[in-house]
Amino acid sequence: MSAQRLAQGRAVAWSGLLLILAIIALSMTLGPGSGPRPPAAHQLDANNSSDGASHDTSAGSAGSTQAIAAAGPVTSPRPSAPVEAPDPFRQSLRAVLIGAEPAREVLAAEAMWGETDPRTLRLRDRLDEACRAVVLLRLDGSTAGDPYRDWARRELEARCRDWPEPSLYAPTEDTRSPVLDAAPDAAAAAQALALLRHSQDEGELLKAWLVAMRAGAIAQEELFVDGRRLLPTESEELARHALVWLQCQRQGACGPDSLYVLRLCALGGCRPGSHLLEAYEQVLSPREFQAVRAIHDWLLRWRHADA
Amino acid sequence: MAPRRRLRLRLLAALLLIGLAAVWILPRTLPIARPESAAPSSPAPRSSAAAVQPAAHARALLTPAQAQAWAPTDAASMHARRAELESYRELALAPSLQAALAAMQDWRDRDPAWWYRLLDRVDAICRQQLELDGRPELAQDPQRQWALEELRRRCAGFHFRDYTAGADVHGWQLLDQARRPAAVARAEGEAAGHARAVDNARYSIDPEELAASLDYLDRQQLLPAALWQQLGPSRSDRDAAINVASLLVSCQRLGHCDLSVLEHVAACAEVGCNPALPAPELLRSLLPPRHYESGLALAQWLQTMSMTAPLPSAMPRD
Repeated sequence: MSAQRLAQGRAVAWSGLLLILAIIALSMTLGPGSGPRPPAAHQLDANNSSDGASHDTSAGSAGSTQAIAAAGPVTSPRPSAPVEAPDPFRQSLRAVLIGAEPAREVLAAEAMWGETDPRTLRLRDRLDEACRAVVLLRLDGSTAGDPYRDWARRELEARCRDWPEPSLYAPTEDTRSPVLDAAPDAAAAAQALALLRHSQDEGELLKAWLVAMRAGAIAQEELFVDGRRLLPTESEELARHALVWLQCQRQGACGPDSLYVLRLCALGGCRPGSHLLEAYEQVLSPREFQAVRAIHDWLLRWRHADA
Repeated sequence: MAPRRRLRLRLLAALLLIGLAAVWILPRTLPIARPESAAPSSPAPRSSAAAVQPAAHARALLTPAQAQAWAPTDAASMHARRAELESYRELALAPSLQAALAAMQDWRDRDPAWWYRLLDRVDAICRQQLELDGRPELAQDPQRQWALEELRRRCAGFHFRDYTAGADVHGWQLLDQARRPAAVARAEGEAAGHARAVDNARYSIDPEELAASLDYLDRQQLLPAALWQQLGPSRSDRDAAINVASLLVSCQRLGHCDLSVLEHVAACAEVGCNPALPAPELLRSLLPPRHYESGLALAQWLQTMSMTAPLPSAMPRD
């Protein structure tokens, strides 16, 4: 009887040892990075941004070229996710960007905040911008049968179904008053740099970028390793792309269902299912794409410099 | 009990070995988890348009009706083209446009339409230089600065009016336009228009003329449909590819695809280029990949079709 117990005890001990080994084997097999797969660059969502929600337009952290240069190397800053309170505006923006009924979202925002509230206007701008592509394609005489554009156009048409056709007038640097071309003073440049650090508004960021560029507050030699210089008109178009990239990361709207991507692909043509960066690679030239990436990286670096 | 215990021990040993094997083997056989971010940042796959196709292969892309339009061109046309090519090449590489034009004024009587084309080309580029000179911010860009300086050197002393005094410039212009395939088709019939377009596509060195002819051929469905497969039916995409093909074919026929060519210098003054890159690479860096790839495929097809008859530059001098 005791021998039998001894044998049973040995068997239990062996089983325990085996179980431990199996656990070790399993953990080694799956490795240390066995958690959820790291998000792709084009799938980085709001978690990737440590941008505060505040709109600090003060010139408190008056920037300078030196300050920018000291902002650190261009790496992919992936700060840990801050715990943010649910932000109704961000939720609405995300719903406009990737939801099936963006018009409804904008109307809900109008009801909640009023028609002229900056938040409503921002949502409206995003939808107008996307729906403008549908009008442009129609005016261009573009017809069905284009595998690179049809998928995006069809989806845009569905999303813009309940939305009034937007005006085609969208002011750019080329159409603005030449008075604005005068180099901004130091205070304006400092304010622009502060906005670039803290603002979440695409339009505001774009204006700030242009002011900072015109003022020479952003050292282009820090931006481009190949020595090129951007002109204001080039800078506007490329910065617009970089800001879209920044915003899509923040909103988790870089996928093929995003209005940003649909607009880009409906106009420029991309493989169906492209994400934002894949779309940029197809629609932009390598030189433009390099510039967009450089601007995007600079913006990230600048915005995280004091984080 | 002993045999049962031995069996149990064997089972345990086997399981232990399996566990150890799992530790060593599985990590080597599982697909390596890569961050998806690597995918979009890597360059889009380039098409395999690098190899030059044999002429038979190039012809095989044509339907019988298209092949008829692409029948060999007569020798007289090639003779005329050779002289055009040389004058164009002289201007493309001339350190002084004014001096080069002065040396080729005989074209004015010999072929006013071509003379106008040469003059117009130089005038457009030197006007562009003046316009760019009015934008001081360009000079701060090292990738534009070198090109602007080079343009200034080449354009020094050139004045359009010096070559047009007392001339019917409008008449020259009309003569030039009358040589375009669409104008020829209107005046002499469709077959003549097709023949002119094919002849231009085969032998012209002027990117503008090449582009107009390829556009005509495309609209008349005289280019192989297979060339457009990767591009799709969009008109704007096709126009972009045609422009790329025209630039590539022109520089290949010129025998100079580097940044010494006048048009390339002018383009670099406008958009900025890294002077260390050869022109085809430069073009690749300045264009969306699909446009470049389709343009390259069209250019290669066209060059192969042109080789079915001797190129003008390969012909002996008169």
